[in-house]
Amino acid sequence: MTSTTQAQPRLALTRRSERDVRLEQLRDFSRRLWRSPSAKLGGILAFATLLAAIFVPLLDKYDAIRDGSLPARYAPPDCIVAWLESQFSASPEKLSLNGLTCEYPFGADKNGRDIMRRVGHGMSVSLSVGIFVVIISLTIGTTIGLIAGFSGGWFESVSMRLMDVILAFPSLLLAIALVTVAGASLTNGMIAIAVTQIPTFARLTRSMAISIRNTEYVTAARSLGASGGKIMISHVLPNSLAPLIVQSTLLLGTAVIETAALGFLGLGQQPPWPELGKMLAESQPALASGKWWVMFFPGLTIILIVLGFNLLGDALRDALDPRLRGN
Amino acid sequence: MRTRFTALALALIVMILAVAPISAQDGGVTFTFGEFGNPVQLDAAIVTDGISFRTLTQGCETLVEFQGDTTIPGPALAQSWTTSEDGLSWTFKLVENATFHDGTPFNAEAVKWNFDRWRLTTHPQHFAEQVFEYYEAQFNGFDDASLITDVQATSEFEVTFTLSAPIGAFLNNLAMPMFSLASPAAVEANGAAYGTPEVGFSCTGPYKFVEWVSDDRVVLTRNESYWGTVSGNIDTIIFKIIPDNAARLAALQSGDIDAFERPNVEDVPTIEASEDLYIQLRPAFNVFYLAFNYRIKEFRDPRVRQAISLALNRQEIVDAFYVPGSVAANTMNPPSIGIGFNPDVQTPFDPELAKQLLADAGYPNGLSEVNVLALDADGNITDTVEETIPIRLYFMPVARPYNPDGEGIGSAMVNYLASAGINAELASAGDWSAYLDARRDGQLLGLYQLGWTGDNGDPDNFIGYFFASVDTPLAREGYYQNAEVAQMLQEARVSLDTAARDQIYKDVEAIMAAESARIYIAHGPVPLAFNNRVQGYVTNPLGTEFFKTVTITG
Amino acid sequence: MLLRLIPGDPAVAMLGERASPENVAAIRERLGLNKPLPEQYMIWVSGLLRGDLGNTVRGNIPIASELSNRFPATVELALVALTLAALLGVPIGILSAARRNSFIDTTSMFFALLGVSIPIFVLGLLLIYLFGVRFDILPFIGRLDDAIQLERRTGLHIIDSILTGNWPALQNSLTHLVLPTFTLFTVPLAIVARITRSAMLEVLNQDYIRTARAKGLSERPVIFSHALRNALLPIITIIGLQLGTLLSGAVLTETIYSWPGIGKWLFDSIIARDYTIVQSVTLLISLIYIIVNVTVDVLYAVVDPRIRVS
Repeated sequence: MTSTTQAQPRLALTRRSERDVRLEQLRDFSRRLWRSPSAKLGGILAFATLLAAIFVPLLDKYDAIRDGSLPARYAPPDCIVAWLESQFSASPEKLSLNGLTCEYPFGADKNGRDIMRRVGHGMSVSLSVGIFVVIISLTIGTTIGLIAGFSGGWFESVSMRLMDVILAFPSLLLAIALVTVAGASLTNGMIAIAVTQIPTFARLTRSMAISIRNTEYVTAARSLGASGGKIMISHVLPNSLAPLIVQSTLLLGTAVIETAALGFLGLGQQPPWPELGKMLAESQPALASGKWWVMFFPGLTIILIVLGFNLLGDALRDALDPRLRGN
Repeated sequence: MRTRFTALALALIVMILAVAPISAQDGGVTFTFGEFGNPVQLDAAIVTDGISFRTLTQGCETLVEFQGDTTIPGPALAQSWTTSEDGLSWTFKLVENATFHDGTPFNAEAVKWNFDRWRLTTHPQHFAEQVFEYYEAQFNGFDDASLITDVQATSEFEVTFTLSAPIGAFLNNLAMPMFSLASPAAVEANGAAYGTPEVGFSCTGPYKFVEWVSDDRVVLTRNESYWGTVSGNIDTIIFKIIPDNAARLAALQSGDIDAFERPNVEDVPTIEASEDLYIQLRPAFNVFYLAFNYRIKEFRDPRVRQAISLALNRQEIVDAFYVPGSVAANTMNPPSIGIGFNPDVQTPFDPELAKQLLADAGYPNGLSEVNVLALDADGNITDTVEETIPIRLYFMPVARPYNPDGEGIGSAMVNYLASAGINAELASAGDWSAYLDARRDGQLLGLYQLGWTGDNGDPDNFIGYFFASVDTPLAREGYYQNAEVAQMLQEARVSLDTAARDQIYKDVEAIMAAESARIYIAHGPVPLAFNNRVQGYVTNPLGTEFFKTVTITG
Repeated sequence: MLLRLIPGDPAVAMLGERASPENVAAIRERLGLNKPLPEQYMIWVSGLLRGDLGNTVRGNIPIASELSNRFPATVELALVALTLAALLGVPIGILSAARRNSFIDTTSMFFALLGVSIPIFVLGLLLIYLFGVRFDILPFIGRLDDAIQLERRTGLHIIDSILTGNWPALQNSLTHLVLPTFTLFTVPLAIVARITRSAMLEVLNQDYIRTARAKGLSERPVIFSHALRNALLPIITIIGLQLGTLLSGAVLTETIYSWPGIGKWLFDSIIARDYTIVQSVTLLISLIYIIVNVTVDVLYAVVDPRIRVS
């Protein structure tokens, strides 16, 4: 059944102009995307994240230095707690919403700062870091991997040994070392994390390139006189797309969490400015004494962001790659 | 095949869960103390870290030791002592029935051998690749520089020290755990391997070394031939290494350990509320401060410094970030110090006055940028402005008893400063080592957090440590130099008149507070968490705490 | 070598607050840190050639003996975690691919995604509170109870206890492994499962699989003998990659579970600027990495004869 649905557009290719083909592919792609439930969920999450990341900083001017007051340290999320109490209290009467103050909807952190505002602003920071890291390491890693895998020779040995050197060192420790040398800042943190992720992409692309460079259709393309670069871009790259997308979506989450670790060590986002992972790391001492909100809201936000992009990435991959299209 | 695999997996799980827990080892009464790290070494003379000292304190003894919960030295391996009129000669009578763990006798020759080893760089056991840091610091250096010029065994159990100048804190120095006495035979036999995990230590104390498994545990056992008395009932001490704060608390809750030092401030109320656990506070013998880098031109104006001091709400910081029982600091010397605490110095919180002072100093619109003064070839500060930078407040990247949360307190500080019109950035200088390096080189250009913990209970090792010397332009901190203060502190250092020394230290505090030379924030006690079955633990401000007084019940 | 560029040195790290210029200068002198960098490095390398890794800067403890205690701890944890991740991850991936879009597929992939998005320290602490404190059924400190004696053969507790027939020690070390393994293997498990699934899906849609199916082969041989064999390449790559991460990057897990391994040691040594430890551990990690790489390359050739080991 798969073969019939796939065969038809391929046959039609020859008769249509390229523009029509692209339009058709796009329509096909979006139809498939729309049908997948994980794409819908992931799409909604990712879209909401993007919207929040763009609009929170635009709508709410946040001055972290002037935010906070120590008497409000670890103030609980007032309206949520009140609502929970009204739901589970023995008295039958429901709490009236009029008497409710929502000064700290998500509670306050150790400096008495509003967690809801900080989650909003931290989200946009974490997300930009994640995207930046993926773009850098994907571009550089894929390029190195393609050239190494396809051309072989000295470039392959030199670049792959270099990748081994980077990989041999724990990525977080390497990032720490890089940031300490270059100076602690969010930008240096992003670059450091990106550098440590390049080998993953390079090796993945290389192994795809190796397994493809000996296949019949590449040999055929070569014998027809196609140049190495052209083969790489038109054959190897599309075939490597699926694992690369998987890796990129996973990396987005890794990047958010590793930025967090750097921030925790004082090497990423500089305090008092918020960043999700850093907020999460900061919440550690409050956990044992039951101040759940300090960890819960930033933690949930990170999980939702990572989950959203992963689900979307999965669905995108399925939709992009006709060979993965199941029944 | 699948069923066989499932059965195997199930059997494995059953085996893991069902076998009864192994009964406690037959080492008698065991006291397990949770440590956050590995000791560095167990040769007392060469280490500088608290974990090594806590281990060594249980097994190794000094001539005199701090009594109970005080900073007053009393008899230990020395039963009594006399000093000459000029304070240059000290004679100690030693206990006569002590032996080292390796069986060799403890006597005056052994004391002499230890001091010679530390003092003389030509001594065969003064290993060249090791650092006898504390001897150098407390006695002014080695060989000819050493304030102790001679140690003689005047009889089998009597030892006489000759000093080149009187030392006001001589007994306090001798009570520091780094000057505990090791068996000469053991050090000679093992050479540089003495104190490593393979060898451990050999001293005179109530507990002797059994094993040290790196990053896992250090085990000590009762020394049956101990010369003194053990008032508690512990037979075996295990220092269990548990790096994570939360895991340490969990280990205390589950009964895996009996005690540990420094739970999170957030967890202290939880522990106190628990039925099985309790908290004991080690009195604060430390201070947390905000230092000025005097290369910043604006900070050379006392009005600016005072404005910054007035802008900070110390009490609110202490209430939020410190364990209950901590106090806001007005002076460097803490209230628990024997002499030299000046209760009259007060540092109020008054942001309006701060704004006023800033305006008087020529900054009616507040302060956001500052000028860094250039240094000349000798490192002295010149009048030339080198660069203009934003005001930075550097926060400490590690938690210390005197500063439980550098970043949190730093955020609160920039918040307070902003309310008084001083727009400081919160800045980091990398990890702890990098931070200390930048501070040592005078590169923390702005305000910066730091603190001090006293080693021997004497004010000369507290305020005297920082301000008694003006030899180098950078001095001990941030290019601060005050010749008058240095003169007074040097006078106090060599004086043997306690009342006179007390007054000098009080005067110094008053002089420095008047010009807001440095901003003192808090004195933080150290919380220790215990299981209820632990009784009789005595905390000491200097951290020399003896497990021999501890009784385990139940 | 990179570490030397970082500000801060062992003398400063050692002295803490008392690191004033005079003190630090004196200590640097004694520790031999004032010698030019190439000279210090040559001293270390020449020691290395004689089989001597040198001593720690702080405390002057022989590194070789320290390493021989800690390295097996890390290896044991990493191997157990990786084995479990592979043993569970590959079947889950295959099952998900075979029953595409089924309940099993959706659920396992959802949990795989969740697995990579939960920070390790949150998961670790949660497990400690749940199984270590609340239910009190699993230990969460170190590798073995202090009361248990185990003769040392390889340093790997599982192997040692089997070799010496010490069943209580085997049981005890296995229980100690449960929580750290579970914490450590979630990420590799998720990654292995996902990569397996996508690699399988890709292969299952290839023409020859369709041919095999069309020939009437039943599903099981199609998946196991045809598809899996061809999907193994990326799976092996990713498992190889995970081992490196597990061996060297288990800093957080080792910290939370007081596991005396090399990850935590390396991290502490960087903080303390103990260059000789860092150099030695880095050397060891690089060696392991090379070994893993060669193994993966050999496996490539075994799995896919089209690839020659160059």
